[in-house]
Amino acid sequence: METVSNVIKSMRLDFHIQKASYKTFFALGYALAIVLGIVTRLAYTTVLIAMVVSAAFSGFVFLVSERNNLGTLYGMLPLRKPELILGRYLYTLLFGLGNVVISSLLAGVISLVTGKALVFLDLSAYLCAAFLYFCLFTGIVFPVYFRFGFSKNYLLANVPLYILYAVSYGFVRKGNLNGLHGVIQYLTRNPALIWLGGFGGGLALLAVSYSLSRLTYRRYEP
Amino acid sequence: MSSAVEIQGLRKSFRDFTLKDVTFSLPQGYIMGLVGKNGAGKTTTIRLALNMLARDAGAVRVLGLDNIKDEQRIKQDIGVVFDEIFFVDRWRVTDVERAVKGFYSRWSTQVYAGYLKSFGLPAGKRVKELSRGMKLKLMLAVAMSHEARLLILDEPTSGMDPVARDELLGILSAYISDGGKSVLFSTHITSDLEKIADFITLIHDGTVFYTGTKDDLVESYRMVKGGPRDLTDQLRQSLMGLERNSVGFSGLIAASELKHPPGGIVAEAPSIDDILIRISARDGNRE
Repeated sequence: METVSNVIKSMRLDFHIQKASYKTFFALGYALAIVLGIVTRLAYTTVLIAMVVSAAFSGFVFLVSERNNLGTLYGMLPLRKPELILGRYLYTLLFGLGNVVISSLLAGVISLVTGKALVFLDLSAYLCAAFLYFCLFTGIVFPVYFRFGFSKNYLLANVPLYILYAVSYGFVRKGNLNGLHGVIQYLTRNPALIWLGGFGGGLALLAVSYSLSRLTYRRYEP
Repeated sequence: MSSAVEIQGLRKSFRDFTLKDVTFSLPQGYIMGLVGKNGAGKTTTIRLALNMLARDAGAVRVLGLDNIKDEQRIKQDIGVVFDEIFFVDRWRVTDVERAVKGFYSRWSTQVYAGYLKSFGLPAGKRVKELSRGMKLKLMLAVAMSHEARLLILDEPTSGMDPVARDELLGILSAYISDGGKSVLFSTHITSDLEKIADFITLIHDGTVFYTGTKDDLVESYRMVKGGPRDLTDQLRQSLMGLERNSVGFSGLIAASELKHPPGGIVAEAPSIDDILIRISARDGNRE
């Protein structure tokens, strides 16, 4: 029970750490997502942009911690290392899910403004893909930030994502998307698999990342 | 007498510094000053005691409990103040309480509010807007609002003016007045300790040079001064931090080695500062 309670306290602390930056995040991140959704006349764009910005923002808790000497605060609080890590992952997951809800509501509003109706299956696919991206991003960068810190490793932490972007771009350029036609048709017939792949896959990624962070996080100072 | 802090044979090696077999004990209800020049090992000792650093060897007991095995219980009972603030600079003073109070089972909002009032800390001000002295008071308010039985302060007075330092000493004296609370206070400003410390642990180059009561420390050494002809070879070998000039010499000597001082020599009780300066200089006497 004590551990559960400490994990919740750790999540609350993370909320307080990021609280001051929320105004900026919602003002700039969502403004960009809304504007692009309207300009492209494609409400799904809002979902994608909002989740991409959310993913980038989620790592900023490490930056604020570093800049404000919070390693010392964690050192004096009655909080164990695994509780701190689990708290951060759960807080980030809640943040991601919250943004899934907000961005899908915004997508509904933008579809009303642009007069282009939302297709539930398409919206599901975009939400799942966006959530999967969010989990992939945080899943890759969190273990790096826990182990090596944010400031000096921000670019390094993103290297796997750059590689992924490059590979995906190459894949699309070579026209391999045509080969996916069968897969897309299969998923259209089995929409539950989209949800399972997006949200189940995302959660699985976060679980693996959490385990990695627990193994590698150096709580002690060098 | 039970101990608030008991450290035995504590070791920690870094690439360029080693803390060697640090051993001392702070009885409950007292204030101990951890003294040493910058880089002597004070902060390392404190961080090892708080389990913020991994030790190489030794044992630490805080309030009778093992500092690693019982870390969570111990941290409910201690308050910590460092020389640099460890709260988010955009937090307001009230946000600090919201962020940390949940971690302490005996946190008292009333006590915290009382400290804010008595320290003159404006609740609506942001951490980054506070002066250095105010930041110290904010850390103290947090450290003392959950019935901590032990306060650990690492160089809290460095960079503070004498008035603010005196105010801090007053706060600490009031805090331990019930007899059940203890303070471990690291500093290189020894005049602070002359006023309030009961015990002193003097660390030099990672080694404990002295640990015991403040009175015993001052009684154990003598500052000796004399003319150029009074400095015999035997005396020279016994002196720590020998300083010579055209009119004579001065240095620190163990009181036990000064049973029969030569006629022209003046011996007087040293200040903690004298002791610290002379032991720091003993490896390179100035002549």
